[in-house]
Amino acid sequence: MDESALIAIEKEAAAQQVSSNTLVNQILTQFSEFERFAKRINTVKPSSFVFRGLLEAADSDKIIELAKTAGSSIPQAFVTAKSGRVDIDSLLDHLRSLSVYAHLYEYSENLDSREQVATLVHDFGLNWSIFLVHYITAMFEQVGVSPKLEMSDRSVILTLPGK
Amino acid sequence: MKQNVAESDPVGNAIFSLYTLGCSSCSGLERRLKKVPGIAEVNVNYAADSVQVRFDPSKVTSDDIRTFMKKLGQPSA
Repeated sequence: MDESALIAIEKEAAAQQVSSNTLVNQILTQFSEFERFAKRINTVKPSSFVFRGLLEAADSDKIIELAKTAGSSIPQAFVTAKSGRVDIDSLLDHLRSLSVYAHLYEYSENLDSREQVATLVHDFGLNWSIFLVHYITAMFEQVGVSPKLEMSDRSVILTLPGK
Repeated sequence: MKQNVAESDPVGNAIFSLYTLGCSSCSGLERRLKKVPGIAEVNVNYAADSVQVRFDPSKVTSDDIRTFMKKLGQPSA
C-alpha cells in the first residue's frame, strides 16, 4: 500500500476509534458493493448543497420525465451487474445501497408476513420526493410490481406485499 | 439481504447517515445504540458514514433511533 494512503487510513481509523483493519475492510466493501457498479453508470458526486439547489431550480415535469427514464434503466443495470438477477429483493437492496453509500436518503423498513413498508427520509425538498416516487414506480414496473407510494416534501413511503 | 419473516416475528431495519445526523464523531456510538431497548444489531460503517440498525418495531421505531442519534451528535450529549 502507498505510504501516504496508509498514513491517512491510520489517522482516520484513530479518529473514529476503530482499527485500521476495520476501516480498510469497510472501504473495500464500499467498493465491492457499490462504487464499482456506480462507476459503470458514470455516477458523479455533487455536494448536498449543490444537489438540493439543482433540484429546487428544476421544473417538476422534467423531474418526472427524468425519473421515469432513469428508473426504467439504471436500477436494472445496477442490480444485474451486482447480483445477476432483477427481482423485488435485488431492487430493494438497490434502494438500501443508495442510502448506505450515496446518502440520497435515510432508509428504514418494517417487514412482516402481511407487508413490507420502506420509508425514505431526506432533506432535499419536494422535487426529490417526486423524483423518487417516479423512479421507484418505473423500477418496480420492470418486474411487474406496483408498490403503493405516499410522499411528502421530506419522505417517501413504499409498501409492498409481504412474503 | 433476503429475510424470511414469520407472522409473529416482525423485523425492523434502518440505515442512517452519520453525516446528516452530525454523529460521524460520536464516541461509542455502537455501544450506546446497543443499550437501547429493542435494538438487536448495530453495524457502523465509518467508510460510508452510515449505520445500519436492526430492531424490534414493537419496542422501538426508526424515528426513536434517529432522535436518539441526533441527541448523541449534540455537544451536550
